[in-house]
Amino acid sequence: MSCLSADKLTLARANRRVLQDVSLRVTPGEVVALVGPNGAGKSTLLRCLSGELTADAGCCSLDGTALRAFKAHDLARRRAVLPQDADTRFPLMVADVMAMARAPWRRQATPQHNQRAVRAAAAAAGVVELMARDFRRLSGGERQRVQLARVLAQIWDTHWDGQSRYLLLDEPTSSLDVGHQQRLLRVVREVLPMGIGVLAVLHDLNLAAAFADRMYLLAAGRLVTQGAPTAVIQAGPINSAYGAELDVRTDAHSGRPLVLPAGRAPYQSPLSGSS
Amino acid sequence: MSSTVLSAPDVAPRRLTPLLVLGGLTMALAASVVVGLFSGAVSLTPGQVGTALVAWLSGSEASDPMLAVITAIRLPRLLLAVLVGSVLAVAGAAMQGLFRNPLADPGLIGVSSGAGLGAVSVIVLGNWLPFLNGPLALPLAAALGGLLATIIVYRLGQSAGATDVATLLLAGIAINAIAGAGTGLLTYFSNDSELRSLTFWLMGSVAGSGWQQLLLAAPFMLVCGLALCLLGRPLNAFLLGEDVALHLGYPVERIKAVTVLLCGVAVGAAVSMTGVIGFVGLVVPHVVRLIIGADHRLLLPASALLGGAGLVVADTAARTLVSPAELPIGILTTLLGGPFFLFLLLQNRYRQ
Repeated sequence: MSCLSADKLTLARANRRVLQDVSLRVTPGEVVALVGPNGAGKSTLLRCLSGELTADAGCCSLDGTALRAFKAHDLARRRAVLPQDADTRFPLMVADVMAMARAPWRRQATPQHNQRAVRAAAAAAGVVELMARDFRRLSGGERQRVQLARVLAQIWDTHWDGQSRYLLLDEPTSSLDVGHQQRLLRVVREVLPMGIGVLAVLHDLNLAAAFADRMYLLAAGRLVTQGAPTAVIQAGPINSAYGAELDVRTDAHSGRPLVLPAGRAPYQSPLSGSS
Repeated sequence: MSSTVLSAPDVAPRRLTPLLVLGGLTMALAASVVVGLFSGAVSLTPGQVGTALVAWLSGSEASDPMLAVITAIRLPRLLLAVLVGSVLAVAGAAMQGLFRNPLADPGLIGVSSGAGLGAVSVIVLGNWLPFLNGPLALPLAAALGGLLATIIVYRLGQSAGATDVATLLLAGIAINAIAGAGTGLLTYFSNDSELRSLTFWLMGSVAGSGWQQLLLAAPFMLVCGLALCLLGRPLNAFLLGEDVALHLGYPVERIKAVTVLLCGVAVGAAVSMTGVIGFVGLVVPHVVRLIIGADHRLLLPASALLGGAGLVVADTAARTLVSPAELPIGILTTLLGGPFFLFLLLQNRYRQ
């Protein structure tokens, strides 16, 4: 069974439960969005699924094999992680950054093979014309596209062996304008047929509803609900999870849920008492 | 998908080919050594230098005592300058990569002064503690001091998996101050002869090293320096962050430990021979990076070559500028390196 899964993860840090009994599954060919308020444990869950953190209880596995049983470089060919912040203060060309991605393949593939993978990933993410640029001087949107190209290159296999691969994206769109958000997530959807499954932490619920096949809503380290976007984005669970007042409507055109802030609270004079 | 792959242009060409860079720097290093052999208080003709070298290589004593200047004084001194310059530069490059901070430098973050304290301890305390008197005691103590300082600074600068730049530099300042105070205290308790050898290398100098001392420290510097040159690929991955290196499948903790260990031992051995020579570890990697970029596979060996050449040039200048007296080399490296570094920074800034 091809999937990247977390099974009943529980993790405490400094006496605080960060994750409590959380299970999650990503299968090849789908985009799964992980949503929830700040501090809900989304990034921690992602770090468990990347093998970076080991949970106190429960286990993460890739295609049925526990992550712990993988050698680090074997795992690196099967899943790639786009962290929130991967900037550098050193003069690296985009081509240098892309070449790094092939490090886990240095014993498995020829240099030509690796270059082909880098080129293909760069083309898929639309960063080919940026290859000779200084990475530090790219705009935020360009930089994030290069990062996406980098993680794609890491799991790119020009002779696909039929093995599933996974992308873990931690808030890939948070610093981007709406145009770049859309372009980035379109690239992500385009690579799904290569046997890639994607788990993305997203803050924008409408963006998540537009690009994800399934969603998980996490709050205070617990899984609140999961399923198709229409099932997860309901006023009740969303408002209680975020502690917000949001209107959830259904877009007549696409049938997708549409989240709108409920607007200003009615004015209450501070002199009118404590009710 | 395959059509887009085929139509994609080739990956951008490198700025300079590695062969050209390393070949050019090797030639620069060789040239600096040759110039260094000829210059000094005693001027010699090429014929004399050649005769002395041939005689030395064939194992016979130089007939002319003038020629002994070449093999007994200038040659070991030049080789020491090459080794120390290389080691300082490659350690600087490796630390900057590991800490993801272009300001890391063996001198700046306290490694050199830690090594200095270790060496001074042996010089001064050697009289009272007989186990500190072996031939290996000085380089080992210096290495240990350097290593200890590196580890302390590294641990202090680490927060939540990332290196905090400000804490790192502050920790370096603190280590420098503490080691400086310790060195001062030992200086206070030293006798005349100890004081002389102490002052001698606190100023930083490659003078006065014979073959014996050179052969003692050379293996440490050679092995650690070469090993550091091999860390290019993992250090590249560190440039985007420790977590990126981890996600790429590198054994991050082991790489950190090995790099810190190698830098500590290499710089410790270098400092034990020459005292504290600042600026080489900071400036040389910067200069190399401005020319060829930050790919550590090339940056590390190129820094080593340029560092060696740079220190030889500095030492030659130190010997000849106020001949027959000598300038402290530490002052010269700063005088040469500082303005050059500023110039490159400004030039790079206006180009943008």
